[in-house]
Amino acid sequence: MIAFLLRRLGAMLLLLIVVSFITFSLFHFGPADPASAACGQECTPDRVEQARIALGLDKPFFVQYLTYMSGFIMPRMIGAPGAESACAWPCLGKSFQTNENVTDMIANALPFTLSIAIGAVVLWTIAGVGLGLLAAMRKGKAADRIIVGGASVGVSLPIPVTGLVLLLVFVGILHVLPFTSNSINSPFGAAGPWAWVLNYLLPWLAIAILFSAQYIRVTRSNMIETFNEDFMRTARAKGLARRSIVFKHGVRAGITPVVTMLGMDIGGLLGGAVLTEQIFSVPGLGFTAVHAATSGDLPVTMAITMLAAFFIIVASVVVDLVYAAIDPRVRIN
Amino acid sequence: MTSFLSVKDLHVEFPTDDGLVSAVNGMDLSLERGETVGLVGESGSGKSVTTQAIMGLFKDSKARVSGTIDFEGTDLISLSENRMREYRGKKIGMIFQDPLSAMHPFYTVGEQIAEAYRVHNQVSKKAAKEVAVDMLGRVGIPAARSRADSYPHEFSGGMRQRAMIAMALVCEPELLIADEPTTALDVTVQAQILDLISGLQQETNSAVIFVTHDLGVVAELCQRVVVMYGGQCVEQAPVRTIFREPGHPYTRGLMASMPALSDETGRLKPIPGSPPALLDLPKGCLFAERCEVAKLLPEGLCREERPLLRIHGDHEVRCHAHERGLLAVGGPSAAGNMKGESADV
Amino acid sequence: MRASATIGSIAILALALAGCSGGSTANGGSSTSKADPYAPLIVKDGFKDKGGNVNVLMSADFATLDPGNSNYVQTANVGQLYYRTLTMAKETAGQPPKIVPDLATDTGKASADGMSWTYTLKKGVKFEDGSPITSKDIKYGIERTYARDVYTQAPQELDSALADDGYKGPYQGGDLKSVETPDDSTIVFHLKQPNPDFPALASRSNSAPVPQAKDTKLDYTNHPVSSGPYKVKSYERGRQLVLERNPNWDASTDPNRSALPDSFTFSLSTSQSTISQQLISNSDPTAITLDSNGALQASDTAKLNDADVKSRLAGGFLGCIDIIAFNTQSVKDPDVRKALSLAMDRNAMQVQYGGQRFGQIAQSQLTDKMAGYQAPVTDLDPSGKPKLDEAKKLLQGKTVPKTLSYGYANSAPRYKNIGTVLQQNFKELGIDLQLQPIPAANYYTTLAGDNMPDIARSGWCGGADSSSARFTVDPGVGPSIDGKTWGFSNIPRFYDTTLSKEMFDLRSQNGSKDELGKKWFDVYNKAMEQTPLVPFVHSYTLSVVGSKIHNAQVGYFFGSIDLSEVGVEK
Repeated sequence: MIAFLLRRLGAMLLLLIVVSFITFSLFHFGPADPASAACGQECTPDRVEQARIALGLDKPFFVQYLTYMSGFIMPRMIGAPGAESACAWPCLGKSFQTNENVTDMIANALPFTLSIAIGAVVLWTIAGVGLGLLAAMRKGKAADRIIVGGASVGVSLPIPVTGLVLLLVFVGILHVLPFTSNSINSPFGAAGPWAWVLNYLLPWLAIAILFSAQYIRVTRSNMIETFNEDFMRTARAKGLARRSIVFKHGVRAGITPVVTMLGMDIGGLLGGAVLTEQIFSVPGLGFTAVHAATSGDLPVTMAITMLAAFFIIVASVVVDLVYAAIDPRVRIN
Repeated sequence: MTSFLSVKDLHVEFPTDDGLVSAVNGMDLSLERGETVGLVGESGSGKSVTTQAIMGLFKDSKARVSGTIDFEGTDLISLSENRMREYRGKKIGMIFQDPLSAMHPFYTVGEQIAEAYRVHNQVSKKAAKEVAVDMLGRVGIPAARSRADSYPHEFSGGMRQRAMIAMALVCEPELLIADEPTTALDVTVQAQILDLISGLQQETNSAVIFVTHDLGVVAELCQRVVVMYGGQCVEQAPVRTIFREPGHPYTRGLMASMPALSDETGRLKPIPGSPPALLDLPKGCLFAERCEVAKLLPEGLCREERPLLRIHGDHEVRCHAHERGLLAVGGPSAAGNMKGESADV
Repeated sequence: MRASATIGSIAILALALAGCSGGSTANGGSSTSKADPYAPLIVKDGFKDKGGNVNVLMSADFATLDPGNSNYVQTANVGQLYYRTLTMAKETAGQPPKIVPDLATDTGKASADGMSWTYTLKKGVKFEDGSPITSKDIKYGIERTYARDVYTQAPQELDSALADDGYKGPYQGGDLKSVETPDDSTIVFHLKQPNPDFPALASRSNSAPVPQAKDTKLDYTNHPVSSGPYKVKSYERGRQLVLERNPNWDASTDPNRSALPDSFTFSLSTSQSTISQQLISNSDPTAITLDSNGALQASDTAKLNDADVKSRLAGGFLGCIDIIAFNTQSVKDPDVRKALSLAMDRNAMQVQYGGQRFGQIAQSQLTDKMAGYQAPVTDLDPSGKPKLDEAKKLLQGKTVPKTLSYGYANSAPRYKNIGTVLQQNFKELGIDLQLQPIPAANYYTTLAGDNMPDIARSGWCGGADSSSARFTVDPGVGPSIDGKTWGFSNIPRFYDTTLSKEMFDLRSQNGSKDELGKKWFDVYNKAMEQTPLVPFVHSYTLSVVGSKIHNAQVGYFFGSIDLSEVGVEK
């Protein structure tokens, strides 16, 4: 087990280094020049070069990359000669656009993304797995048809559409929910947990509608498959009650693909819910990433890409562990 | 006198998009306490559906079950799912064909046996575990205490079937239904399992319905044989009678298609033609399509009129030809004909 | 001379990023209405009550609040609140801003030869910590803007007029020779050549005082030391900026800022669609926005006719006029360029910009708001319709290029759509227009470089002084600093020996604003006879404000609600 974790940790590190290198290269060799972006229409070639120095882009590629990576190990100095400023460990650089410390930007954005992720995951898991299970148990009956029908509508509703409709109806017309506030990012904040819930309810719904539709489909088909398994007949033949048959025997066996999906989706969501954050004006990682990417802000884009990759990789390890805990046939080695 | 188990005119129908599939069509079966009956027939003859109907496994499903299943004076068909639960596992135990898929992959063998015990007995988890370990010992699993914590996939095929038997018998049911319990096992292990079942049966004096393809197993284990075809009982008789004088052309076909009784496997070889389409059952004898003897009978009799199960002492046969004494007891002709046809096909 | 265009071009870029999907929203009926659809709209002016808080909704954080590192109109607008400059561009809705004294007692005194300008500071002006503002603080602020390897956005229009080009900034270069501070209240600028428009340059944020002891370099943006009516109370990057009153600001020294609210709260991460919904629904009656186009989406146009919304609508022209520039080096024949210009359907192009609500068809880059106005000389149809027959006639007997290229910034669909419109127009002339995307970040450097396409879109917002034709003509079609080739931001690469020489000489001529303005108008009209560029839309911005907001006017230069005058009911 410890050997497994160490091995996965090593692989994770290696993968992250590869991701960092690729992202860095993409930006470096890509068509957009951050130095040009930094000074705009009035940028003479002379000024572009000065901007390049200011951003540290005048150095050779590998020096730039290694300098960037050194920030993960120790603090470093950033800026043009004579105007350097310290960047404390772990240093992810400073924004080309605002000179803000990227580590701080991430730390500021993360609670917003977490707020969105937590509620959305809880909502869609309960709704998706619950309704999927219900549909499987009522296979072919009216409840099943309604749920499956609803899911096929939900799965074709893109977040921008649901998001805007939710905003229009609940905020614009009914006035029952507030516009999202960017000062609430935790249930433990001054505004209290209820304000937090109200603030994030619509983003949660927008994501949950789409995701629970997918989870309904997957849960339903997996549960139907499981219900037809021999061991389910055995459970009945033992005289077990329906509840125990469905939950203890059925759900435990049928839920594993959902667990994998859930793990990867959570990992993905933690990297930033780009569309949702845009629509609901939540300054999380996705929101920050979009601004950074459109303005050629390399350090910020790099950091969020790496963080997203990190979450995905961690999620895959966690999924493996959970899978092994659920299914004894899966050995960790 | 009423039998311990008496199945009369059992019908099981499944509604499908194409129409009603009649899997069991007036099945009759009776069983005495302590008796072992072999239920034989091709795949699709309705053996498993019959036993599952006895277990009440079609309750709460779309399947339509009618007729009577009288168990110790109670009609199981009229019982609710909840009442039926008290029978399942406790009074009627069931062993399934493939223990690997029939046992839950995520729970230890011990847990699964203990669970079966705790459903019907108010005991602590710990006590149930003790019962499970004890039961595993009784079915011949060495180091039962430590093996109880293993998962089904960690067992060998034979050990797994032993565990399955332990699970079916942990509540000491009065009726044990063994649905092809040895099919998935290799030959040497088969014998051990059969010994085990018959040994335990003698210990507990339970009745056993033994569903099998394997006439060799029947010969070894059973007192009586019920042959099923097209969801009906076409013949039943004590083991010796069946082997000595099979009454139904289908039974004869089964015998004849066996290489030799002494053969190690003793498996049934297929009879030419295919079982009747259960969607649209013929009016007459269900076997008529494949029966050589039918030709010897008056024009259209077998195709128009379904024969009844005629009782000759302890021997029951459902056949117009047999009824008319056209089939010489043990006569080689009919079987020979069928064998000949087999060569043609 | 490279004037202040960056600050203007940013506005155009931002306008383009506003995300109008380009669908036609023009309303046929409204054009018959007699009311001028482009008249300035001021919401509830004449308000004098102090107090309250104004909530400013923005879709993104300020790139910087550092006056020495800022070229953004948003920063300039909010900058009025926390820094003062020698002179100031004072906004009036629908008009180019007027250059008025701010920290200085007047707009400056030129020496007899016009080579130096002298300013005297008002008495009693102080920083937020109570220390006096001296001429040295202003000089230091200017010195910082020379450290271009530190401040990538350092404004350059003032610096480029000063004598020493080689100066590297205070961190490496020591003292800036061309600015002298003989005493604490006097500052003298030495110029390369006479420049009667120097007061406009002195209004740029370069002249905002920065106390050297408090210069935290790139971190200065987090808390710029205030010389204006407000100071930074708190600033959470990316989320919220709160400005509160600066007790050391003396209103008697500052007639230009009414400074009515007690505080401003900037919400820095509200998406544009949310901002427009919030403002239209009046969910926060104390809210305004600084986003371009008032954060309005093309789809919001219909709602603007509601009586309630109408009463809360500020509006006015900006200095910004978009053009289609020809590469005069590759499309050499002026008749061909003229034919192409006549073939353009500028109505269809206006639609791509969101329709009439977002701007008027423009016949010239110069407006009647500029001093010394002369009517444009142009054959373009004022309604924006193409004149295909005339175009075809012009091309008779000419060698017409078979294919031309149109380069566009890939940041917004409208830029590509403009290309599609042109593509269809030029097809009528038998010319195949190829659309060539350019990464938005490199757009202007590409236009200035070797890969300039035959045709490209650009924009200009009037420079440091949009009431002066010079600040549009010179950067747009003027010569380089030495007068020998075209200027750096002259995207058409227009160079005519006679006309360029004329412009070069005009730069250092002395005279009244009207006289000089007329000369610039004349030379522009002559240049336009060769059709180096085609003006097509003059931006008009509407901005909805909350119901408690007063004195809301859209700044001609800022492109958004002028923060120096806005007030709020308590």
